[in-house]
Amino acid sequence: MKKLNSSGFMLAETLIVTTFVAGILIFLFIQFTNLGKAYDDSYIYNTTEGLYALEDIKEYINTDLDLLLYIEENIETMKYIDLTDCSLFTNENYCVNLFNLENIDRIFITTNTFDNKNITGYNEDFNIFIGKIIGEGSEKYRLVASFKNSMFATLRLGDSDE
Amino acid sequence: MNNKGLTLIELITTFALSAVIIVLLINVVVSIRNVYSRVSIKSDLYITQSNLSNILNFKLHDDQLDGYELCNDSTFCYNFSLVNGETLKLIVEENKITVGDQVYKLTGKTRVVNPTLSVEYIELNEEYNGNNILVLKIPIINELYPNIDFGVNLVHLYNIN
Repeated sequence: MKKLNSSGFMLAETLIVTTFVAGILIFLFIQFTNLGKAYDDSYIYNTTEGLYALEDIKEYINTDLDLLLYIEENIETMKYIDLTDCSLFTNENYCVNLFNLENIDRIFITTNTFDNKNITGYNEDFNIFIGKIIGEGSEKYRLVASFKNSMFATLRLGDSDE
Repeated sequence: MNNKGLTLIELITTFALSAVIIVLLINVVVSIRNVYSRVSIKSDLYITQSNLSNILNFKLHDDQLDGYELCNDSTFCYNFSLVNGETLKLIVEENKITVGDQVYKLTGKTRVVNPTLSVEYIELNEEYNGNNILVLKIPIINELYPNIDFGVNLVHLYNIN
């Protein structure tokens, strides 16, 4: 009788190894995809231009006492106050021009701790950025803005509680 | 019969598979090198943007702009006079930006495209200290990233006498 050749792999062994290797490759692919996404996000979140634009707006808001009073009275009851249409500003004309020059698409002010991030009414990318903001620092308020070039930025403002 | 050694078909198969793997690996290495050089260029440009924005905002906001004037007609050149008596000279050429005593050279495929300086007069209430918006735009473009502006967009509110 011919001797059975037992060298080589069985089907089951081959499938197990293939599944194992495929699982590792899928895991690595997902990790590199997340890494690439984080890298892309780093160039659109809190850019130099965006932060300086918010600095200009912050400087302007700090001179508008009526607006600051309105914010202080209403920020706790309202989750956020949208400033995009400039109707709350004393100098609406200047506000419109300033926002236009700074390429502001949408902007709102909220508390710095920013506990409740269920803010709706903005596009998906903006909501994703809002979800990633970490409330830190001792200032009272926080400006959050999206720009017309699809970039986003946030800046703290107000007196420090320290 | 001596059964040690490899058959011709095994050799040819091995060489073919090795060649395919080597070609794929070379592609991967070349891609990584390209990505590295592109990322390096992007990072350098963002650092330049940050430095330019810092110095212009620091001088014009903190030291307070008092006025400005053209230096000559041939290039984009302005002398900014500050409230503390100092003057800040800004010269923007296609491949070089000079701010005061700092020079930023743009190498490779990076260049400045149509810098502009404009002043808009905005009617304000009397309480607010300022009625003009100065807008300084220095767009910096790199051919590898044509849709990204690595330049400066400075907006400044100030009074002119």
